[in-house]
Amino acid sequence: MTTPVSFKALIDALKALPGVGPRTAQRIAFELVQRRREEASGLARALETALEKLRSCERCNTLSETPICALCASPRRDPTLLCVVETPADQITLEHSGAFSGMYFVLMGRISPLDGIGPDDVQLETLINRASDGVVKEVILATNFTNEGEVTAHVIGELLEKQGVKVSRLARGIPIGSELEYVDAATVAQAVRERR
Amino acid sequence: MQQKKSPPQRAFVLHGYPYKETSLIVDVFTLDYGRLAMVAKGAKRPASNLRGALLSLQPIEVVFSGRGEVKTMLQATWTPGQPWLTGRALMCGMYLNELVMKLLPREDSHPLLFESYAATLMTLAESDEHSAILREFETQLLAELGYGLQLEKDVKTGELLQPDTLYRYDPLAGPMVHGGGVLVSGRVLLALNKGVFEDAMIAAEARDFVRTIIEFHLERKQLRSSTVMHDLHSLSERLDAKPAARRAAKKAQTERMIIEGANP
Repeated sequence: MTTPVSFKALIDALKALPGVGPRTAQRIAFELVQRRREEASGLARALETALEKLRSCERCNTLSETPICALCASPRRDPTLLCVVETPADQITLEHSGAFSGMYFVLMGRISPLDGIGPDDVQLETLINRASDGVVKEVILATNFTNEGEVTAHVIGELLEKQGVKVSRLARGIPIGSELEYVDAATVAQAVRERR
Repeated sequence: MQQKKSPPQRAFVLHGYPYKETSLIVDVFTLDYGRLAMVAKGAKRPASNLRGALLSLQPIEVVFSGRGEVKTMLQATWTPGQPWLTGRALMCGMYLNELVMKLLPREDSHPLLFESYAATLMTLAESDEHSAILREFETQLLAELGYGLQLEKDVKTGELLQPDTLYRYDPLAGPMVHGGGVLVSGRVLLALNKGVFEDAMIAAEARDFVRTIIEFHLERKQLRSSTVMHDLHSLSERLDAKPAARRAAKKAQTERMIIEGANP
């Protein structure tokens, strides 16, 4: 059998997804066009709508259907505090904590020198301009405690301090409600070093 | 099928790539087996005994199995001793990792290089002389790979290098007065040999010289961390220029107001 052109195009399009190789792409393509035609057209519509409607929020860079997202537009948030997170998922976690009522900036990634992900890929210039608008009094760096997250925090911190903006970093240590016996040694070592 | 387990190995994770939902493929530098690729299944789960696989630039002890190209990580435990690298030192550490990943072939045992890598991370944490530390590791790495730098004599005449002489450095042979290769001063080569850089200029020249030699041996592979550093540097310069531009604009505005005020 010769592969129809449109089917080949579908496989190629699926291969562009992270972690999908040629075999998986072919398997998904067969599934979509043979067994799940209804779900497939749903997927096509959802994709089209999402691409058409979703933009980056002008203030915080997260995905939004409006030029400025609901959180950034809310008058109840404290505009003098700006919290920098890597992903929208991190932002949701911070919102669940109920401890933060300021604004956010979502990098949509992190600087990773070994993967070639640099300052332009995480909109650093937009962030620096946003943070030095005169309204923001303190920037809280809430990037992950991985080496990449640390590098990202360091770079942002250095750039912002030069602009005269106050910068702080999320604290780290033993999880609430946990017993020392079960905490991993690396975390305990860090908590001892950063004891108060 | 029961596969043979490796004895516990001192190791460092060089880099990890996400694999499926909670797993990682990690590039691991081990003491006895050199650089190995391993799959760390479920390493991102909170209770995983492979949590050590997530930490680069920290010493770990690893147990693995498998004979194929990609091993299976069975255990990865963090071991204490190495301070966490922060700031500039952390960036230097990432650059070291990229050098090892791009220059060292897989499954090539280099215990001496492993020890000097471990020692380099330690000095990076303790000292601010980052460029001298990096140059020392680079020369050790090149030597260990068989591309050792010739930093004492003109390889053609056998005469000792003179600080004020300009040499041509052939990456495969060494320095010579007449020949082809990278243009470099005797002063820079001698500084590299001693590991002492008298001023920022010599340090910068030494960095560029070693970088050129490394790039030659990398063939067409790019050092991504240097590109990212370069981009950061230019962003920083761009932002530095901004307040000056703002100040200049404000000054012009005030002057205009004064002039207008003087001539109502």
